[in-house]
Amino acid sequence: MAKLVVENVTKKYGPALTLEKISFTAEEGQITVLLSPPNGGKTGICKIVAGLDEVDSGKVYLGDRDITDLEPKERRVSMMFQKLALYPNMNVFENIASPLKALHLPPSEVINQVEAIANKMKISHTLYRKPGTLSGGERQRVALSRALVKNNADLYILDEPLTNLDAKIRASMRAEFKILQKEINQTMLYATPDPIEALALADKLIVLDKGKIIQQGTPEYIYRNPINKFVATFVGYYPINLIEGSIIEKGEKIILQTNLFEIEISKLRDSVKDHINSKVTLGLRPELLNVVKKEPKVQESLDLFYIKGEVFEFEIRGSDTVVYVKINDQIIRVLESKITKYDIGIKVWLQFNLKDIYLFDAESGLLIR
Amino acid sequence: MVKVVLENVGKVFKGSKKAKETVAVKGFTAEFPSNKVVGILGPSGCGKTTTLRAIAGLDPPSEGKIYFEDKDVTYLPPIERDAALLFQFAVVYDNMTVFDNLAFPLMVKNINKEEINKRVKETAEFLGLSDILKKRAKGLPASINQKIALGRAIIRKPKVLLLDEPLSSLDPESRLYLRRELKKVIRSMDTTVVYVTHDQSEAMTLCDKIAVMNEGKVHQYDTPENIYLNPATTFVAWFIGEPGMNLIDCSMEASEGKYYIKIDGVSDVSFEVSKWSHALKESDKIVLGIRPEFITITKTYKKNSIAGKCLVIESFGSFALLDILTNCSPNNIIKVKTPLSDDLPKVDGDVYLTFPPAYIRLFDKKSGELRVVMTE
Repeated sequence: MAKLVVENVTKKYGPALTLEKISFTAEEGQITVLLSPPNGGKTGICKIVAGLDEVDSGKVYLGDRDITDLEPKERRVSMMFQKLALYPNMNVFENIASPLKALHLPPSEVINQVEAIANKMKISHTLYRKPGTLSGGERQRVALSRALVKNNADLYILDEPLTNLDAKIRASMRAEFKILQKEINQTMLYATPDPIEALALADKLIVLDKGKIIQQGTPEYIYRNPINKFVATFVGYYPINLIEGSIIEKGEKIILQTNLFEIEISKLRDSVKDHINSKVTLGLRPELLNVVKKEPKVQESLDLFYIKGEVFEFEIRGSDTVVYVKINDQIIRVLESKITKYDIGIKVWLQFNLKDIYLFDAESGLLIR
Repeated sequence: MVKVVLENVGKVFKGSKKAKETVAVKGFTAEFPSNKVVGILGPSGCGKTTTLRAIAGLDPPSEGKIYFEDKDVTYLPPIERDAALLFQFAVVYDNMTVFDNLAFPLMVKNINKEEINKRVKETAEFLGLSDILKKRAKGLPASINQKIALGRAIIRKPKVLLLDEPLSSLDPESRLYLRRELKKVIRSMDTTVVYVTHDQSEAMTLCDKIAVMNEGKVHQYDTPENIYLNPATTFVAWFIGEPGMNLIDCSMEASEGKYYIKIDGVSDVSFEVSKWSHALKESDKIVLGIRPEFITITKTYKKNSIAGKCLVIESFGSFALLDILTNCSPNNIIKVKTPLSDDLPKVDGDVYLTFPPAYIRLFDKKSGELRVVMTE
């Protein structure tokens, strides 16, 4: 187990993608998650760290070793890529044991290691079958086991290890993986395009777009303080609602004015004072909004807002419901973490709290608060 | 307007030297009402696509009958069925314009030019493709390609529209928008829709009724609400919901003329079931099912609660998913979904789980079938 340091790595991958000055640290014993939309650069970084691609410039250190120019097998990294590439003519046991060959362990030790990981991954019953006879989920577990079998690696690289699975199996594998990671306590670099997976698994999250690191930090921090609109939209349980508006002063009060509503945000004076009379984008996370069916009486507190609208549509997702509330001509998404049914077209009130609003500079997209 | 009727449909793929014989579908009997959306939902390999291919006529069943209204179509070739099929990966002719792509199914039917023009324009407008009709299809994004494929499927106004995971190859954002288009199409068209997917959200959202399949068998054919609240089998209970129901081994015990369910491995927790004891008497072992979102979690002891330790907390902004280690079997981890609050336990903290009886479902362990809904 060792710390990974990527320093100023630049690499041109044809016209569509260039990794630009990538710098980050993956701490010892933690999962560092690279999150980006497709073709954002995460696989490139995995390949560079694994030694499959060369850097144009920059350095990669693992522990106290400079591994930038080392051959893959000299790096002491273990990897698994999205395309599983199991050996079809070997059985599951031999597949999992294959990375152990170079270590020249006694056979009993190999058996112990393979059985230990197979047990944890719940594939003990498949050990003497060929990969071709297994289900997709089982094959994925075999590939994960092969990547994670104790093999003296300092770093484990997993590039979209769960992407090919059914939604259902993926969700249950995610929780299992988190427990497994705690047990084996290794440094991991984990790439995924799925923000939910990233938020759930990461100790440290690195958000990339078009070959650049946009933001890095703990998942909680990035979720609460997305640096710009892109991160706010991409990193969340569901895409954030964005509403265009501007901040104006009315006498003593500071007002956020949008096409849909006006709310008083005087309490935020300190954070917005440099943006008075300028255009802003209001961000409302669907999971932090509520739908209220009964007309609220008097305003209960200055911090709680009610906006009238109508139910445009709703959909059930797993054990949640997404309600689409139409206000003027804009649709606002609300995520309720339970299953509820709505009549289309009924009047409802969107409820949200002052502390949960995000404001972005409309032009630069940067977070104001 | 035609209803689709499946009568004991089965499909066996014959074995060869290389592969064993596999039963892909067995005994599928259901009526898909006209002008409704019926979902076939299940994990990979459950037989859902095989069923769809049989309805489409691409691969007739090895047994059973398929009717469109009263007409037996079991062995009719696809072209004579008036069914359109849309696949997971959009089939779009790269070297043709969007217009020609949409017009293609009409051109092969020798429909006159005026009518083709009119129908293409209508369809394009409906799906928001009007601006790119003259463009070549090559290089368009996947979501547009899938729209074109959808347009081509609906342009000849089929009586039956068969959809095989049409959204699953798209990114989440385009999936959302295309799903809305699809709903619009489904609502405004005079057609019976069969929607095959492994994604329960798609099914729960779009479908009026859902057939949940596993290993070739239909476990439940019901409305989305019933499938969620009263799953017919332990498989459905586990499969539906994100995550699915917790399934916990328990036994029935009699004491002073009353019957109680006791959770195996946990003392001091029991639920009275005297009212339903007749439904459970035949069961050797009983499984208690409860959804993660209906469990109450506290940091202090409550009467009739299960003690545990918090292993994992996944936070989702407004709520959290917790893995709680308990003495329950067969799986000692119980999943709990709860709103985020300052009262949430810490990782490795002690917690207590309370099951509100109204949300408890009891299954026969051996058959996996639902026996008791405690509210009834």
